[in-house]
Formats: sequence, C-alpha cells, structure tokens
Amino acid sequence: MSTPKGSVLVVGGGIAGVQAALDLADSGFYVHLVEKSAAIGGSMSQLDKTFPTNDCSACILSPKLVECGRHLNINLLTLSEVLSIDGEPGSFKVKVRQNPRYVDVDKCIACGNCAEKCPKKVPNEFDLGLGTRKAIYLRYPQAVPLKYAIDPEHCIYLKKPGRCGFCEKECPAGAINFKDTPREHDIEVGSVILALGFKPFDPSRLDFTGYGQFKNVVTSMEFERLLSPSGPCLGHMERPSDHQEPRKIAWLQCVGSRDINKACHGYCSSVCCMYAIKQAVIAREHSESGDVDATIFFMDMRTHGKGFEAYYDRAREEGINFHRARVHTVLPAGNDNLKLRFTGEDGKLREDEFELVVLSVGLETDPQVMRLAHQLGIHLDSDSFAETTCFQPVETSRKGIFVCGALAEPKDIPQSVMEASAAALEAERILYPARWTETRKKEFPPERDVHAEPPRIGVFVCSCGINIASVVDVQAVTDYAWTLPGVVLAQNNLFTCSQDTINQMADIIKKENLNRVVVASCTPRTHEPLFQETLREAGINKFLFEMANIRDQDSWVHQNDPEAATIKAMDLVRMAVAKVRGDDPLPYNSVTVTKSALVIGAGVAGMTAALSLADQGFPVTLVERKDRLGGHGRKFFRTWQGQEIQPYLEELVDMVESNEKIDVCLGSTIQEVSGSVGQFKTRLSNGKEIEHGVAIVAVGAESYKPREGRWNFLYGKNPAVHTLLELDQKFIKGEIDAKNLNQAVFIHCVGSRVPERPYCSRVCCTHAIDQAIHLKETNPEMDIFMLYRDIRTYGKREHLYQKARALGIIFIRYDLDNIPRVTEENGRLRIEVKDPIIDADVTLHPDLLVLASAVRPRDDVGELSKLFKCAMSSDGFLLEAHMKLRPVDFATDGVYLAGLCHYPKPVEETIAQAKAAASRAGLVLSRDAVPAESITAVVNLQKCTGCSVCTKVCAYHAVNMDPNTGKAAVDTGLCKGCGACVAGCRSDAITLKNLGNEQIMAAVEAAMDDIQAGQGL
Amino acid sequence: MFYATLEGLRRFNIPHKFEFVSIISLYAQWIREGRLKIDPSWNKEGLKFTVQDPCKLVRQGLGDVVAEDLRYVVKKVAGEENFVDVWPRLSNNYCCGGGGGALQSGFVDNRRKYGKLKFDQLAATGADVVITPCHNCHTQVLDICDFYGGKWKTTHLWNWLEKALVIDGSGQAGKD
Repeated sequence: MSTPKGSVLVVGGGIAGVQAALDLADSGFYVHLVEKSAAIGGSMSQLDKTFPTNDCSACILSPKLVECGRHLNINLLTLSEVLSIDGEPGSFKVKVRQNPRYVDVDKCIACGNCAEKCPKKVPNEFDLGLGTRKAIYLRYPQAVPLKYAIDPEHCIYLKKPGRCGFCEKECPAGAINFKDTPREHDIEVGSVILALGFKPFDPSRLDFTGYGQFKNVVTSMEFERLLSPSGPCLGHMERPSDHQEPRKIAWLQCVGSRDINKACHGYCSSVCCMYAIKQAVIAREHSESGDVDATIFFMDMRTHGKGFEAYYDRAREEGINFHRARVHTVLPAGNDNLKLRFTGEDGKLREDEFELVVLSVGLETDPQVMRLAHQLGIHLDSDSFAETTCFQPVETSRKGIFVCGALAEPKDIPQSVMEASAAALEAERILYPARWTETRKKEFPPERDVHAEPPRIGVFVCSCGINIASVVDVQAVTDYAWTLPGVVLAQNNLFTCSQDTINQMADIIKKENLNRVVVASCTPRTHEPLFQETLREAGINKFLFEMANIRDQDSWVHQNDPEAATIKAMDLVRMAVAKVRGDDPLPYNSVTVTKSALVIGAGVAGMTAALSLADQGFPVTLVERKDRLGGHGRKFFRTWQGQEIQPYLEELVDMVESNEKIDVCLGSTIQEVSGSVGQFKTRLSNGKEIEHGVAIVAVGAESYKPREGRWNFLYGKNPAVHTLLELDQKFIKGEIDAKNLNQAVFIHCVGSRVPERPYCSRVCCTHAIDQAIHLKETNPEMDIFMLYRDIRTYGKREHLYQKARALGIIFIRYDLDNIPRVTEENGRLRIEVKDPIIDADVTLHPDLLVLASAVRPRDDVGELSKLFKCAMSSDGFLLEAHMKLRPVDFATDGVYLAGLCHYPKPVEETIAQAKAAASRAGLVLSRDAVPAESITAVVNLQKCTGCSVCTKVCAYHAVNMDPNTGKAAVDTGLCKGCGACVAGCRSDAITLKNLGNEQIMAAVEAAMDDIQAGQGL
Repeated sequence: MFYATLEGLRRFNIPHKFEFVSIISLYAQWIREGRLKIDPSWNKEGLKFTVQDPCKLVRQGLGDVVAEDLRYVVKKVAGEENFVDVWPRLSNNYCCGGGGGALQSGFVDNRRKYGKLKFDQLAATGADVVITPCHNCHTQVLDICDFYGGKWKTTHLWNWLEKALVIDGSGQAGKD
C-alpha cells in the first residue's frame, strides 16, 4: 500500500458517529461526517433522560455536538447520503449526495422569524408526529448546525413557485435560497466508519397492541418525547387523547423483540428493560399529582449493565410494579383507557385498566440502511445487523470499513461510544503514517501586551433571537453598559455567536483597541470557548474575557417578570465588567508528551490495548503480575458465537511477544506513580522506572468461588460440582465425557444479584447456556436443567437461548425465597427446586452440577486506583469518568480502563473496550504537547508559613513543599484550578489566577452596588 | 376438511397443486369485479352487523386476508355505516370456544364458561347480526347468545348476500 490518505469518512451523526469523528479529528485525521437529516444528534437527541444516571440526554450530548460542529477538522455534511464507496483500505473514493437545504448556512442566524411566518404546519418527525413544526424548521432547539432547513415535501413555494415565499421576505439575513440544488461530493478517504444506528420498531404491524387503533397506546420513543421539555407538551406529561396527565401507566416489554412470530425479530434489543424502568421512574418524577401508578410487564428483566441492577432494585423499592407476564391483548375501556388481560404468576387470568400504555419497542435496522449496506458490500446477519465477529467486534465484512453502535447489534449508549472509539482506533491503525497530513491547524496572531494599558472594555449584549430579547430589554442593558467604568463600547446583537457577528467582534476589538471583553448572552457552558477564540483571533489573551449569563440564568427563568429580569441582566453585566477589569492575561500552559504508554495487566484487554498502540509506532510497557501472558482468557473455552478462545489467545500472545515496540514485564506490579497526563513516572516492583505519557489499566477480575455460605451447593465438597470456568477448562482439555453423563444441572446467579454482591455479572447466562448446548449436542440423550432467575441473553445472544429450548434443555425459574437445595445421597447429588410453572417441587439427580458464579473485582484493585487517583464504584469495580459518554476514560486525564476491572463483560466487549482505550490514549500520544490548566494556584511566598495543609487537601498532588524554601510550590502541569488549597490555606497565601480576592470581591461588590443608576435610565 | 387438508399438506410438506380459497374471498373478488352486483339499500332498518373470525379459517388457515375480505363483503351487503368491528380482531380475535370437539364432547358448562368472553365481546358491539363463516363457530355463537340472553341473530354470510343481490342480467358470468 502506498501512503494512505489522512482522512476518514464517518457515516451517521448519532452519538456513535460523533464520538468516532471527535476521536479521529483530535488525533490527527480529517473527518467527513455524513448525516442524512438536517442536524446531527441522532436518536440520543430525542431522549429525555438517560439511564442509569438520569442525566438529561440533551445536556450531556450537546457539548459533544457543539464541539463536532465547530471542529476545524470535521467537515459536517448534513442532509447527505453516501452513494458509493470504491477502492481499498488506505484509499477509498466516496460519492456523497448532499440534498438542498434551501437555506444558506453561512448566512442563517437561526432567529426563527422564517418559521414563525411560515404558514405550512406539518407533523414533526422529531416528535414522531406527536407535535407539529413548520415547513421551514430546526430539527430540534439545540440542533447542530443551528441552521434552519426547508422541507421540500411541504414547502408551498417549492411546490408552486410564485406562491407564499414569506420566509424569504422575513429573513433578516437574506439566507433563503429557493434555487438551491443537490450537490455531489467526491471525497477521498483512507477508511470508513459506519454508525448508521437503528430505527425504533413500528408496532402497527402487531395488531394486538392496539397501536394506531387506540390513541393512548404509544411507543417508548413517543413517550420519551412526551416526557421531554423540548417535546410536544413541553415536559408536562400528557396522554394523547385528552391531554390529561395519566395516573396509571403500563409498559409492555419485548414489543418487536424476542418475537419470532409476527415481529420476526428473534433477538433481544438489550436496552428496553432499562429504558422502561427509567421512564417509569421519570414519569413519577414528572407527575404533577405525584402519584403515578407504574407497572412494567416483562418476560425476563434484563438489567445486565453497570449500575443497572441497582437501578432496578431502587425502582422496586420506590413502588414501581413489575409483572412477569407477556400481555397478549390490549382492549379498549371507557374514557379512552385501556384494559390489559394477562396471566398472573399463579397461572390465573387477570385484568387491569390503565390510562396510558407504553410499548417498549425494540431496535431494528432501517430498510434504507439495509439497502445502503447491500450497495456497499457490507454483509448483514440474519437479523439485518452488520456482521462482525467476537474477535473483530468493529470490523465489517469489507476491509477498511468499520462499524459501531446499534448497526452491529442493539446496544446502549456507553457500549456504542466504546465501539465508536474502537472503530476510530481501527481506522487509525491503517492510516497512522498519514497522521496530521490533511488536518488544518488554527493559527492565531501574536498577542498584544495589554499590561500597561488602562482597561478598555467592550460589552456585547445578545438578543439570542427572541430568547433573551422577548423578556429582557436588551437595549436598556446595552445603554446601561455604556455607563459602567472602563467600558468604551457596548452593542446589541441579534445572535452574538453567528459567524458574521463573530467576525465583526474581532474587527471591533482591533479597531477600538479593546483589551477586555464581556459577552452577555446564553451560557459559558457551550459558548465560552467560541468567544475566547475570537479574542485570540483579534490578538488579545483569551482570559481577558467574562460572560454574563443573561439567558439560562435570567430570561429563561424569569419569563413572567421582564422588568426584574432586565434589572438582573444589568446586575450580571455590572458584575462581569467589574471582574474582567481585574483579569490578567494568563499563559497557555502545556505539558510535553512522553510518547509511550504503560499498560497494566496482560490479559485479552491489556494485550489488545498494547498491540493497538504499538502498531501505530508508540512504545508500550506491558506489566503483568503473573509470570505469563494471557490472564483470565486462559480459562475460556469458546465465545458465544462458537469460536475457540485458546488458539486466538496463543496468536495474541505471539503477536505481543514478537512486537519490538512492546516491553513485557512479567511478575511485576506497580509500586509508585507520579506525574500527570503526558509525563507519568512509574516505578515497578522489579525496580524499573518507566516514563510514559498515558496509562491503561486492564487488571481484570476474578471468578467467585462459593466455598461456603448459602451459595456453596457442595462446591469443593462433591467432585461433580464445577464453576463455569472449571467446566470450560475441562472442555479445553477434553476431560468431560458427555456421552456418559445422564443429567446436568446449571444454577444461575450464584453470588450475583444478592445483597452482598448486588450487581448482575452479565456474562454467565450466555456462558452457561452455551455450555449446556455444547453438552446437549455432544450427547442428545442427556437431560439438562437450567435453574435461573432471569435469563439475560441480551442482543443476538438470545438466539442461543432459543436454540437451547429447541434442543430440549429445560429452564426452571427460582427466586431468592426458593433457592435450590443441594444435598448428597451416598455421594450422589440431589437437588430440590420448586418449579413455579407446575407449582410443584422437582427433584433432580445430576452427575454434573455447574455453578454460574459471579465475576468479582480483584481485592488489590483499590491500591492501584489510589496510585493513579482513579475512582472506584461501591461494587469494587473501577469507575469511569462518565457512565454514559466517557466509558473508558478515568476522571484523571491520561489514564484509561478496559476489560473486567470496569465491569463483567464478554470477550468481544473486552476487545472493543481495549481498542477504545487505545484510541483515547492515542489522543494524547499523537501530540507533542497537551494543554494544561491556565487558571492555576499561585503561592505568595511572603505569606506562606509552610504549614503544608495545602499539600494534604490537593486531590491532584499538585502542591508540594519546596525543600529549599520550606514553602509550598505549585506544579502547574498537575494543578486543575479546583481551589481546594486556596480555601485550605490558613495564611491567605494561595490564590487562583483571575479568581483571586481582587476579581471575586470586585464582582461581589458590584453585585451589592445600588442599582438605582441602572433603573434611572 | 378445509383446514385439515391445508394443514396436513403444510405440515408434512406434501407437494400438491391445490389452491385453497374461501368462498368469502371469491364473493369479494366477484363484487370487486362487478360480477356480483350488490345493493345495501334493503337494510332500511339499519341492522348492525359484526363478524366472527374463525380460528381455523383465519389465524391458522388463510390469515388476515380472508378476514379483511369478509369485512369487505359484509360492508357491501349491509352498508358501510352498518358494520361494527370487534376488538381484538382478525388473527388476534378470540376463539369462540366451540371448536376442538367442545361442542360434541359434553362438557357444556365449561364450554359456555369459555364462550363468555366471546359473548361479552360480541355483545359490546351492539350488533343485530353476527356473521360466522364456520359451522362450529355458528353453533357455539348461537348457543351462547341464547344461553346468556343475547339479542343478535347468528347467521352465515349468504343469507344476507341473497337479500342484497341485484339481479338485472347485467352481471356477466363465465368470464373465465
């Protein structure tokens, strides 16, 4: 292969596509991001809250979208579709068609005048038709790009030129272009990532649900919109028929999943159990009356992810009802209510009436996506998901094209994000020689030294369309700003963040010689970086900037009191001006990166991560406490797809051992860690000192051995009792003579989902069922019984469960009140268990008993987490920076995690996570230096008494005692600017730059100033 | 006979050249083609009609298509506005409770208790006429109507088709 291209095509602008694009663009590749709708954000942007943290979906997603939209190295192609991809890895030629938006994105300021005047109302697909939008529309309020688009299907003018055209007349920016035409782009890239997502299952083909027949039967996605503040009822939960708040709601699980009859979907959609619980919890929170009766009808509760089981437990404690039943018919009842008929656990027919029924619809592949996959030569499996293997979880059937997210299998957001990073890694692996060859770099002019200048402050007051101006008298605020000391210019803008205003702001700063800037607008959360960048473009230091939040914290919350809101806006502007007056220019700190990695743990996760980095030319030190490579993987027989693990592992070990970039340190542990992202220094137990820029923790977990207690089941006492891994080892060695076994029993959830270990171990249901199938296929005469609590064969693993049942393996459910009783009779096992279906005790005499025992965290993981300052969850697993969107990062920069130390997971997820960790580590390693915090602590040596309190309170080990002076010294590379030392100092000797007494007190005093001056205007 | 033959051929994968068609679908086809001329104006009283979807014919037999045809014909015969549908319907409709030998085996109380669900469903429509295109359903629906004090008439389809048929010689027979 000649030199590959340094750019990548990402198809699909949902959370997976966005994450892949950001990872690639931040590590030296140019990205073309193709999205078929008018804005990126995908399905996640439609959700109200996300499980298990109940984070607002839009709030955690928006910053990523904004980053994506503003990224210099991401070319956003909205309203676009891929027509063809030719070529091979390293050099693909892609044809993309971009459909017309009829709005010039460079001119549109998203003021909304066009949509206000547009006479054509159409069903809003973002709200799944529950609400309406205009023919000219924003996909959703936080859309990226925040630009209107005309829907040619419904626009009156486009259908009949000469008629209507109001939007064109109303647009203050002249952005409407009715003559817009489709454009074809020919793009050359080195690799392609498909993140095409899913489509919620359409239940109208399941007539028994009554969907489409009865108004108060809605899908779960529709219910998300009913809950959402940006939805059709503005977050006041209403049912469709009469817009009243429903007081009794039922969720029906597995609609369009685990249904091989009418829905034709044999797989489990993995996410519906959790989102139904979340919706039930949130519905109760949203309810104004406060007493929503919520009932979830399910077959197996599948809460198999990190934090999920605890969420389920909490929901039950809070009084959400769970009924194990598949409701077969939804009947109309009076008052637009619905009657459900179902079988209770006692086998008796029951009826109950509800005011709203939510169908927990599954995930399926959009037929359009199926056609595209076919055109591109991407194989789909029998469920129409992209075909992948356990060992290559993000590779499609076509070389150089990768997949992530729900296109490969139904999955939740963290798993999608993980795969997105893994897919980015695979692209980087092919294209690393071309890193930084096609990217652009932002160049800033040299900064003017403003130290000696008196403050010349410019104030920009934003109307934010009507968001601020409809409540706050922005002209009065602007006039008031002129009167403040130091202000030499104040102006009002319709949208301060629009491209033309930004350009104008830079010009004004230069022309007026401004040396401080205040923007009174939306929120620093999304817009501070944009304005700070504008300051740099105009040649002044970006820390000479303050933002007055007059939208989120003023106009939005005081809508009913415009006068007070205007006065508050003046207060906020006055405070910002007072603070910015005292701000100093700060240095742009950075840390030089040591371009090598430390990987701790040489199991599948650690070895995969090490190889992923070494293949890109980064030296890796791989530390393993045992004296050989392989870790936990040595004990596994095969994946759920049937591939044998040992040959794969041997190959992996060979590759690691023969890779000259990887330095393997066996029999070693970590003794001491210092430094921070870019420059870590670690000492090993063998005395070796390693300098590295990043670290990946992949120390694994262990299997629980029930040597005593109620989960013992004669384990360690009767030779016929095994754990799953012990049976696997016998399979590997060929020590099981299945032909001579008459009966085998598996007990699930041994030590999982119990008070002492409340989480679900995720892997054991699938593992146990696969072993049972292996036994049954070897000896069809054998009787096999699975004693389980809920079968959790999520995703495509559900097919194994179906296969097991078809083979005649018998499943008997037990619960914690009826744990199976295992005894011995003359050396022979005897098991008694109550079968709830026949409501009778069953006695079994197996000659093989297999315990699906829990995966438990290693005891020594706590010490390691302390060394790297990483967090741990209450279960003892390591805790990532954010459960939803940062699944492989630690809160500590430059440290990542992968594999079982994060949570129990099967090998395919371990591999994906290890690759994701390598991708995230690559963000640091691909750079010569990484930015460090500028707002750091400074010590006034005159005041410091050397008491060393600051060194104790610093969570980042950034403050140390200088042995020469005996006083505190701050390491600016480590300091995060949290201010703990400032608060802790007894001598008032430490301050934070630009957040010292001088600036803070100026703002506070300004807040207390008499407002009369402002009111008198 | 119809279902037994159909299912036998299906289950044992027996090659055959049979085509399984219900007379209902033929009625529907002939009405659509204009070969049967139908006029609902006989229904001056506005008699309300509903239907039963026999398990063997619909869910287990020919599927929703034949059930939709049944509704089409009834609407033509009785007048669109005089048709009241049941819920659940088509393949998801309730079993009448008379099949599987229940009518012949003697457990009368059990059969009627089972049929209560069907009775309630039909009674809820308020229909004057229930069309049952299956002799088994016919007997059972007739019996539960009588037993539980229903007010409707239980009949087959052709009784009413005959009332609505227009015989003016313009309908051409024997096109095929």
